[in-house]
Amino acid sequence: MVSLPHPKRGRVEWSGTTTVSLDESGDGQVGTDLDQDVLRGTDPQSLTQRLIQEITRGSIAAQASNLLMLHAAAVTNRETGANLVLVAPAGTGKTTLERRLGSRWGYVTDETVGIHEDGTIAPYEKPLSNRRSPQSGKKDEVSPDELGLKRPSATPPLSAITLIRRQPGQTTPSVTEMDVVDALIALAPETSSLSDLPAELSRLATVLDDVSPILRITYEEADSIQPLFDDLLREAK
Amino acid sequence: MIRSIPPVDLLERDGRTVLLFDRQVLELNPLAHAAYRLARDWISIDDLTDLLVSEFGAPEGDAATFVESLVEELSDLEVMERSKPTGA
Repeated sequence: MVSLPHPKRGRVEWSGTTTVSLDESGDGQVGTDLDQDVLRGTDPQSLTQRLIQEITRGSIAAQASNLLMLHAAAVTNRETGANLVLVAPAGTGKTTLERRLGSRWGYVTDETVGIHEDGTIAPYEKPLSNRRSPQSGKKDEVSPDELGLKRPSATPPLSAITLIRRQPGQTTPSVTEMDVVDALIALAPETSSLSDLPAELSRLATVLDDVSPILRITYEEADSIQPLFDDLLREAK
Repeated sequence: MIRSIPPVDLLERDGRTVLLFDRQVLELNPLAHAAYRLARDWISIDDLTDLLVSEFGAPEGDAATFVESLVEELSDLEVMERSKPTGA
């Protein structure tokens, strides 16, 4: 019997069954048997990471025709209920920012922001991927509770969207306002299953209208933009 | 003969046109959007050229070559398709 680390909390709007098989001897088959919904592996942490990835994929697929989903992190101001979305491709420091902002303000997700038609967000408080060392390619999944991240309200409203990019040499963060059409073109590649929604572009444009202006923020280090996000979270309604 | 590939969704706002396809979102400039709109049904390059010239005026140089180049670009973006030559 092996106890796998698991998130202490999380609301996932998806139901399904995945069997996780951990072979402690190291001789077993490693891989994913999609037909059987079985994940096999020899390392509990790697298995946990893959299981979370499967849950994320399953959740996105299950909600593809309901939610407008952005590949993004989101943080919340628990006093005002305002929520700030940080849209960013993988590897641009989204999780680092989320950990800093989530412990100070409140954590909504660091992976996918699902937006209901009424403009509220479906929180997805998944564990955060934590690189074992700066040089390591291996990551551990760490519960938001263990990281001291604060919880969001049950149905957080979307208040603001930022598009963040990391750029070497941009020591002073650059902030520019984008109009809705420019924002729509920039954000579309960061959506999941956009073409599965009815009136997809109109729906995304409506969301952007409600939170316009969209800010494009370019930065080098998380330290340099934390004060900016603190201000945005204080001012967001 | 050429024909536009229907988008999944289209948004027109502030004189700008954005199209959603299965795997991409594109903004077309006014000339490209006109070509796309005029080619909803199969049309020849010559006929499309005539329609575009009547709408936008003649470009510098050969209009048909200019439109051929535009269609080539839209085909590369997979928003326009060409019919196979007869007998192919």
